[in-house]
Amino acid sequence: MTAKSVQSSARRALLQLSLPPAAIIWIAVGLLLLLARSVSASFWELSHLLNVARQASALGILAIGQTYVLITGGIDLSNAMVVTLVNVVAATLLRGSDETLGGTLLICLGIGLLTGLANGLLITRLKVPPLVVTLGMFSILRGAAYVYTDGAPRGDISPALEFVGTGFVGPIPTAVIFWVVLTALAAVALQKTVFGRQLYAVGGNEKASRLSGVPADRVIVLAYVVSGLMAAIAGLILSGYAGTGTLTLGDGRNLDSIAAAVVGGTSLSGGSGSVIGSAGGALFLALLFSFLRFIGLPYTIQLMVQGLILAVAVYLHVRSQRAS
Amino acid sequence: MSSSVTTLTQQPFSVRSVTRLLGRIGPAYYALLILLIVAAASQERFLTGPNLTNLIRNSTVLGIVTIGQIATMLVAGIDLSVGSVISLTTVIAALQMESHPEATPGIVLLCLLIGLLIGAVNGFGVGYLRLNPLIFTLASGTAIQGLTLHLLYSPGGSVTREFRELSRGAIGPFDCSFCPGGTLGPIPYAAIYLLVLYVVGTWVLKRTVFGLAVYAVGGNEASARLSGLRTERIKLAVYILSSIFAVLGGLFLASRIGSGDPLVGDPYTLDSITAGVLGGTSLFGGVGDLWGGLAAVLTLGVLSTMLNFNNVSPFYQFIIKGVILIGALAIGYLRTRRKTV
Amino acid sequence: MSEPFLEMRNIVKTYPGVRAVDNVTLSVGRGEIRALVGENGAGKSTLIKILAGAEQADAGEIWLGGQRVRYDSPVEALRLGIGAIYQEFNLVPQLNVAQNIMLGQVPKKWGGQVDTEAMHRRAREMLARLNVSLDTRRLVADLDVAQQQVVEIAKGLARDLRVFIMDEPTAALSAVETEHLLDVVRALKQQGVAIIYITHRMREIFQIADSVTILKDGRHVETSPARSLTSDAIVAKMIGRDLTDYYPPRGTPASEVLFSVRDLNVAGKLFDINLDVRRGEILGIAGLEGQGQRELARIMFGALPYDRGTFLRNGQPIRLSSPSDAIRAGIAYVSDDRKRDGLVLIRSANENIALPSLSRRTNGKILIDEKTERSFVHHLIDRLAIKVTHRSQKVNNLSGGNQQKIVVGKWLGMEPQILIVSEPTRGIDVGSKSEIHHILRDLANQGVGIVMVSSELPEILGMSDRILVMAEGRIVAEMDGATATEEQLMAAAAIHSVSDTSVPVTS
Repeated sequence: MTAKSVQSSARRALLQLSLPPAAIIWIAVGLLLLLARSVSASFWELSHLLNVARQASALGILAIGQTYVLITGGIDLSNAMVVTLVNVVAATLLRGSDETLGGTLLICLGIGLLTGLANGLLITRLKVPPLVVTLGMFSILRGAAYVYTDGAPRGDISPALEFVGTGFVGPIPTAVIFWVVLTALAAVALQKTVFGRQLYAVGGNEKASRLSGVPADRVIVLAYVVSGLMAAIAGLILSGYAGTGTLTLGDGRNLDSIAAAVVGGTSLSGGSGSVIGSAGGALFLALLFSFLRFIGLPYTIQLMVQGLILAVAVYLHVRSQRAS
Repeated sequence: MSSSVTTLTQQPFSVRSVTRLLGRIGPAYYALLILLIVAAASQERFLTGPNLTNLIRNSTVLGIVTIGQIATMLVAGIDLSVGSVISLTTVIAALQMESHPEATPGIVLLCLLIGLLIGAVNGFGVGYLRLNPLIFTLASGTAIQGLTLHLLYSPGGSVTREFRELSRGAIGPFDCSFCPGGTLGPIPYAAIYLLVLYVVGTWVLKRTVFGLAVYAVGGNEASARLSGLRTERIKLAVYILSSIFAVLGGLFLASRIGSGDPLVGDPYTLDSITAGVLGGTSLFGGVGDLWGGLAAVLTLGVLSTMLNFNNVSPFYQFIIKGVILIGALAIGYLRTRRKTV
Repeated sequence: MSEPFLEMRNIVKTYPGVRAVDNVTLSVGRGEIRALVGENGAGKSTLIKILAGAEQADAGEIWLGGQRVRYDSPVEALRLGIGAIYQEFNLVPQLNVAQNIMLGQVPKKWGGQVDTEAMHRRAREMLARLNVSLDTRRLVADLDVAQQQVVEIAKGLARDLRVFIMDEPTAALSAVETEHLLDVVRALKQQGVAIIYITHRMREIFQIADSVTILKDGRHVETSPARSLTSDAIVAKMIGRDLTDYYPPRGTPASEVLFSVRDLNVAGKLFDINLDVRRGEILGIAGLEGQGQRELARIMFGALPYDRGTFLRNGQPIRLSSPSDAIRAGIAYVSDDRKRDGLVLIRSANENIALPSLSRRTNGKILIDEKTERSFVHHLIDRLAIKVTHRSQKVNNLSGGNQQKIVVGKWLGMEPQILIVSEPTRGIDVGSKSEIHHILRDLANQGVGIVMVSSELPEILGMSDRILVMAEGRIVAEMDGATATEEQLMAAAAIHSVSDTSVPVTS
């Protein structure tokens, strides 16, 4: 038969399969791996792949929180500056030793929690749009980081945190373990708990959810708190990797986390999405960059490709939604 | 005296009409007014010519970019690529003018054409393919940032001497009997650019059929489409305008810093959204105007000038900006809530 | 019948899984008023969207004045003189009345400027044709539903259409406004406009239509002159069976009062409302559109604030400041706007049905017990005969009637003692309507107290055990459901109205 009819029947078959978006991104990850292998066998080595996973882990953890927020129909731009603030605070407080580790961790997680709480309360109580609240919070946290360090961050990360950022448990990077565990917990919370159900319902139709007795405000606030906490954890892991405090550690990570979630099939209009998909999205982006570096393309080209991938992903996503 | 009494009796003074009038004024104007009073009262240097000239020049890039950003917000969109377009413009202008100083007008035209192209891509994606504007312009912005860094990795290049005059020049002084000292000015070119662009922009939005279409598409896209408006084409035009304004802002910036910088445009993306929102433009489309945006841009400018004057760490700017942004919308909500309940 | 001016030939439109329009042929002459009827999901909306250029047919041809025409957007359809006014309003709330009426054909001056004066003048002319005086400078956001409907109609008039499609134009109008509209439709007929008129109201069909086309399941059933049909015959052909048992028999309500409202007041909206809901009764709340019934229903569910008043549940005062309070008191609420208030459209039937009773069923445990939930949901789907391919099917793919059953089903899951329903059968097909009526009666027979707000008189008369009539925010009459007549109801609803305009002209 002609190529065209084969193509169209293949498309129909694909449509009938109607895979969830989360599955599609993992298939894409698999295809990318196969492609990488055909280019170079050394890309396929476990140590290299685990290293890629380590690079993806902070982004993946940020993407968990971002996914929760996106499911409510919101957006969190402030998570990038939680990363930065956590980083400079941790470096300043620790000064390279584990003595104050417990207190530092508490303070850092507290920053994430309070940021999320503030975001959530401003959005639900004062009805300020999420984009504006988290953009404002982004600016406030950046100011806080600059004022706190007076523009010149000092101090170093302690050995324990460095282990989290760069260490291994057996062959597996510590950061990856954090990522996998958090993703699993977040996935279970989303699919199997009352909170998860209510999160999807509120994101799909807030008004109808309220009229069904769902405590919508509480659900939304909780989503932003999760995002803030995830950002704080990602900030600690990235700090461990960076080793010092730097005022640019979070830059661009808000948009990257949105990209990972969207590539993983989460919709920006709320009510749908999954953390498994977002994990695939984060891994896909990290793999892609690693691959592009591997074949010798400069960072600048990587950026262009990232833009392209994102555009294609959102295009495919929109098309599959219209088809159903 | 007697005439003012008759006007008062003709139009009876009512508290309600005054509060209604005050209610219609956006938070950006209040913020600007309060800041100006505080600034003028606390710093005698504030109301001097050089300082005001400087304030306007520092606000021009954001002022120009904000016009395009407001246009995209009016159609319920957003343009996250403007920062990258600004950077790209400074890089292309600086690199090309360094190697072909004689072709400056052609280079300006080239930049505008590139803006047109980028805007067309954004507008096609958002308008015709109906992709989410946030994600799509984030994607195109990322790609443009990559391209810009590819062209020039660290600041460099230089624009021609004449080109610098575009941002640094001024005309005047003029005779002015009301003004202290009897003269006004000199008036910086920058002030004229802003005034012309905002007047023309407002005319287009408020008086023309295209402007009405922009508000209609943002207000209710399905309705606009069923009423026979070509909504895709209107969005395409709006995103092209947004990129063109970003290029204009980039050209002004290149003229002001005299060279190309691949990251210099970065803050303008979020700042232009801040200015639009602060100026009363809704992120959900259909509501807003340019003058509020200009007031917001100047507010941000006065704010940073004041912090400089008062020797406050410039880092507090970030915090204050964030608080103002959230506060402006929160106040708006509290006001409408009191009205409805 | 006049010679065909507009012809739609063999139109086919398929959506994934549904053949919405299946080989439909339709022709309308100049100056002919064609009523288009059918249950929801019969394909009416899709057919007119294709005609208006808002959707494209997969197959078929459209002929206009003897020539084949092709277009794929509303712009091009309008250019051919084919336009529609839709059931869901297509107005831009942020623009004023004149801008909305003239949108898409705004008069221009030099430089692409809007000719504001001409725009307002023309808009006023259109409103005058409808016998309506409305300030054209008012924002549409500030208008009430009936005024918005008028603007929508004026917008259609302003276009000088040759083919004018009207999708339930009178749904939100008062009796007098409806009369004006029907006059305008007759005037358009005199001007030779071909009119396609969609309505669920049989009376209007016989008032104005020359001919009737009946659709069912996307197929053409019959086209006949209106005078050769009766409303029973139309209904029978729409649903493909006789509806002799249209309304279920009444029950025997107990005297026990489940829920009471005492001295409820909302400034400018509701005045001194007192009512009792008894075990096993259906309490109908009737009245013209917009007399405070909707607000009353929402307040009783804790979804709207009020100024003064008390609520008694089994004689004990309760607080109703949020839907959660109401749910805790065993009160459930089916809104008149199921898409906005009732359903999370992009989620599954399962999730929607389980939502209100979720926290109660899990009883403080963190994880949802999927097995009990599955049987719980299946039980409700069976009980209400909800047609879904699977319980995980997304709700937005279902017909209006099935969607409404899901809304009812999700509340049954929490076993309410009081069920407030507002316009329970608005916009759903006749078959589902009857099923919903039976469900409500069954619930009442099981002891649930039902408050039914409805602006459809037959529904009020057919279903209610007791009827309260509201006008201008007050309860103005109480009647026995079994003996009340349409005339009595209309008289009670209108007599207290201050404005003459809402006195019904026809009955």
